[in-house]
This record gives sequence, C-alpha cells and structure tokens, in this order.
Amino acid sequence: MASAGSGDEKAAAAAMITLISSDNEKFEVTEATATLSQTIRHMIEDGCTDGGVPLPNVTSKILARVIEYCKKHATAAAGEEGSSSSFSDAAFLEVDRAFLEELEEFDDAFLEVDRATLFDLILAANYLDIKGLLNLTCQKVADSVKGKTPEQIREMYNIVNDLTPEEEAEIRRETQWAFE
Amino acid sequence: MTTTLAVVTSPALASSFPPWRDLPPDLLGHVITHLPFPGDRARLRAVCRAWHAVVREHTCHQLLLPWVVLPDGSFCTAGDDGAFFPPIPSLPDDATCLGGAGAGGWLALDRTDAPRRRMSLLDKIRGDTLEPSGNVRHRHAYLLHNPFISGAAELDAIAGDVVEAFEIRKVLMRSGIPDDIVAITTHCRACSVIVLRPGKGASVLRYLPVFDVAFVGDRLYGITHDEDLIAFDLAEDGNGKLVFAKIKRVIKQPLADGEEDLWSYLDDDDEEQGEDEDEDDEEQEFIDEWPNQIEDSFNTYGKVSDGTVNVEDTEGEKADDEPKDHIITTRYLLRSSNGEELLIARHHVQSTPFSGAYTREFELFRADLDSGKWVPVAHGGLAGEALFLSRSFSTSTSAYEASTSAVCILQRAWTTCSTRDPGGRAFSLPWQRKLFSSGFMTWLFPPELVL
Repeated sequence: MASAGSGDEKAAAAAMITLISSDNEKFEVTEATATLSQTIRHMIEDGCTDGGVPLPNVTSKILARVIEYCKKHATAAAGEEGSSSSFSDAAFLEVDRAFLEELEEFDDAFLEVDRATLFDLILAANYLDIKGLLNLTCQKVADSVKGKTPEQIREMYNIVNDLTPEEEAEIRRETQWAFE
Repeated sequence: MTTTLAVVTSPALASSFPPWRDLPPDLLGHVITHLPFPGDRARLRAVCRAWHAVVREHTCHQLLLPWVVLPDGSFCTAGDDGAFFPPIPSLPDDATCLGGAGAGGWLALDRTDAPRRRMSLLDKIRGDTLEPSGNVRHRHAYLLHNPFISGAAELDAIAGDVVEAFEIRKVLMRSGIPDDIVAITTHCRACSVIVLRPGKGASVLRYLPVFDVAFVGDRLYGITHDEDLIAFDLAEDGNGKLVFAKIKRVIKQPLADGEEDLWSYLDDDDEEQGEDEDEDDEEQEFIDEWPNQIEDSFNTYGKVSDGTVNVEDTEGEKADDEPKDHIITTRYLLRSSNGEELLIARHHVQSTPFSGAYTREFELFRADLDSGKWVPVAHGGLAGEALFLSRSFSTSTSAYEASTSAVCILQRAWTTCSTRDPGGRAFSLPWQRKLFSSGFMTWLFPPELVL
C-alpha cells in the first residue's frame, strides 16, 4: 500500500462499491466513501466485495444516513491528509478552518434526529467502525445528559430504574456533591 | 461486536423504544469520554444498574491525564479518546485563562475588557496587529476559579488598568485552599514576583529577575535565568498582609569570566534582613500606585527573561549561507510529587528551518540545598513520576508504574505536545489546540471521581 502512487489512489477513488442493507436495499457508493468504515475497508482489502457488501445489522433507513455522513467526510479525510504534515499553525488554520467550520455545520444538521435514530446510528457506527460518526453520535448523547439529574436522564431515554431505593440512596450518598 | 448484533436483531422494537439501558458497555464508555466533568459522571451512574457498572468500569480504567485548557477556556482531554470541548461553562464571558493555579482543579483567570487576549491565532492574524501595545491600557481583574466545586477568590490587590503588553506568567496557590498564599510571576522587572493572600494586600519583589516559582513546604522558591535559586520566607505584617521576611540565594550558578555577581548581597543572612525592611515601605507605595507604576516600570526596566534561550546550532554541517538550526532551551521549576524536592527541568528543542522542531534533549536536576548545587537526575526522569510542564503551570504526579517516568510539555515553539503520557504511549490532542499558541495552554487536573 505504501508504494501506491497518486494515480492508483485516483483509480481506487473512482471504483464503486455496492452496500446491501438488512432489508435488501442496494446503495452504490465510491470506494473513498465506503472506506471511511474500517469494517468495509478490511473487506475491500481482503477482496471480498464482489457482488456487494451485505450489512445485515443496518437497515436501509440508517444506512442512507450513514452514507450521507461518509460522503461528506470522505472529502474531509482527503483534505486532512494533506495538512497534517504542515508545521505552521497559522498556515494550517488559514487553509482548513473554513472547511472544518462547514463540516461542523453539516454535523450539527446531521444530528437533528430522534433518539431512536440516534441509537441506531451509534450501533451502525460501531458495527461499521466509523470513528468520526461514533464520536459525533456519542457526543450528542453526552451533551443531552450534561447537567441533568438521573430522573431527567431516565425520562429522556426511556430507562426503567432497576436500582432498589436503598441502592440508589447509597449511590447518591457516595457522591453527594453531584446532587446538590 | 456480538453484543451489538444481539441488540438490533429486533428492528421493530429498536426503532420504537430503543433499549438505551442495554447500550453495549463500550459504547456507553464512548459517551462517558464526552462527559469530562465528574459531576455528570456521578449522576449518570445513578440512572440504572447497568449504567452504574459501566461508569465504575470506565472511570477505574481510565488513566488520569490532565486536561489541556486553552486561553478562551475551551479544553481538550488527552489520550486515545481525547476530545475537544467548548469553554468551561462556569467561566465568566470576559475571562481569559492564565493557567492552572493549583491542585484540585484551580485556574487563574484574567477578566478584562481587552478582547484580544481571548482571540484565537487566526483572529489575530486577520486583525491588524499581532504584538500587544505598550501604550494601550485595559482594565484587568484577576481571580482564582474552580470549575469543579464552583469556588472562586478575587485577587483584588492586583486589579487595575495595565498596558496590553503586561503579562502574568504564572499564578500559583500554595495549597488548594482559596484563601491561602498565592505567588504570581509577571514578565515585568519592577514586579517579577508578587505574593498575596486573597482579600489582603500584596507584596512585590522588584528588580530580581525571577521568572518561575514553586512552593516547598511553607517556603517559596524562585529561579533566575542563570538558574540561581532564591528562597523566600514569607510572613504576615500586622494587617495580615504578606511580606517577604527573608530573601536568600540558596543555589548560586557559576558565572562567566568577568561577569559581575549582582545578587551577592542575597547570600548573606544578616545584612539582607535590614535591607528587606526598607524595601517593604517602597513595596507598599508601589502597590498603592499600581496602574502608573506598572507602565512606568515596564517602559523603564523592560522584561524579565522567561528563562528561554535561543541559540544557533553551530554543530551542524551547513554552509555559511544556509539557514541554521536553532536550539531553544526552556526551563521550568517545579516540586516533586512527594512535595519535598525542588526540580528544574531543561527542555532543549532543535528547531530546523524546513522540517519543524523536535526534542533534542531533556534534562532534570534536583536542588541540593546542603551543597548549594543542582544535581542531575539520571535519565532525565524520576522513577515513578510523570512531569507535566507548561509555562503557567508545572506539576509532578505519580506515574502508573513505579519504574517508569514520563514528561509532557506544552511549549510555544513546539506543536507536538508531549513525549509520552504516563502510560508510556505518545498521545495526541484534537486539532482545535492549534487555535492558540501552545505556550499559553495549561494543564488542569480535574478532581478524581472516586467510586
């Protein structure tokens, strides 16, 4: 791989991969988009993508969202490789910040989903091993529970409290300062 | 992965009532890395039994790495799952973070109407000027702030109108108690070291070029750019104001041929006592006229060297007309993690014209006060200690294995933050750290969530 020139990379970027969701819907994506998923990258490296990549854990609804994310971020990944070696902070910022800001806006809009979709996106990001998407979605959950009480968090995420009153009192007492 | 498969086998259920309680532990762990504040983690663990177990598991297995706080109060967590966070919510809007101030999560803040302090590098480049002006003054108020226990203490004795170029380098609390002694170093020769108790008056050390300080026991120590070590005994006057009771040079570095020893009077125990008394009165006066004096003395006496030395590398095999490498040496004074020893760290960076900078050498010395010498510490590290160095806050903590040592440095000319983390691995920080010059970043150790 190390010896691959830019010509090869271009050829690879143009190659198309077919992804097949759990409900048998097919999605054609470029290899550059698909390889944001480490899981798919490994499949491609092993040469087992002919006839499409079946993803039995991801529904078409979620896969469509994941692909949307990957398309946007595939271009970002290409940009980052170019700049990571640059020494100057200032040069880095001038070139990349506008693009990173645009990406941030995309991410914010992307996360405007209900909690059920968010849950499925986290599982899909984990299964497909897409680090950026996993970070983004987990961050969203973290932000939503910041400063909230356990009761608020349970209500928000529809979680049944299975702690006995004694256990809960004990847990609260251990870190009393966090509940004041 | 197998857990994941099991969870989504029933898509209908997953889409209507996703079983958040059954979120696989490693994924809830990811969520927790985005919840840096101990309070949020503490509340999360009271949600249900499964989450309680995950928070405990995750918190126990996490290496205790400090945060890196940027001047605008935003911060990065370090390590493999490090992330960038927006400004700490409890900071006032007009606050610039000067640095870590002490154990237990204390920060030193500068509240000012001079917004350029909080500007990112990019905004500064876009603006007209990069250099702070020696003529424009702004109102400043300094305070200690603790985002974890919502504690604060005003350093009102040193508030005032000061020129843009005036810079506080370090604010150091003797302990993590907000009304205890605080030592401050500035870049200004007329007030190189200031000591105070919050709410009480301050005393100023003048014309002694001390650029970094550390407390060992009740005594304050400072180093000069020559690496002379000065010991300060502090006492209270009748009104509870701190004064320098005794100033003594305890380590004297050899001088170059013909160089005059300007500070020999600090070696003698008897004489300085009397001299000190005289200075006290002047200090009082100086503090009372803080704003004027700052500007006057700044313009008159210039800066205290920050202990950084930049020399051309003459060893390289380069032709005369080729750009030369530079060796940049930065010094830090700190206390060992057992609280008993003073250490001085010298970090030598090789800066090359085209390919960036890298650590050339790291040296560590401990102060031997009996012999009056700096004694080299073998292999540049103390076994079992991890050093976290930055201009505004340096500290030593226990490493995770008794036999290893580690050094992490935040430095101006040095874009890669560290050599190794306490686990011995290299760690990276999120890209947003590049928004500010790394010389102005600081370490902050959040209190541990003990479960």
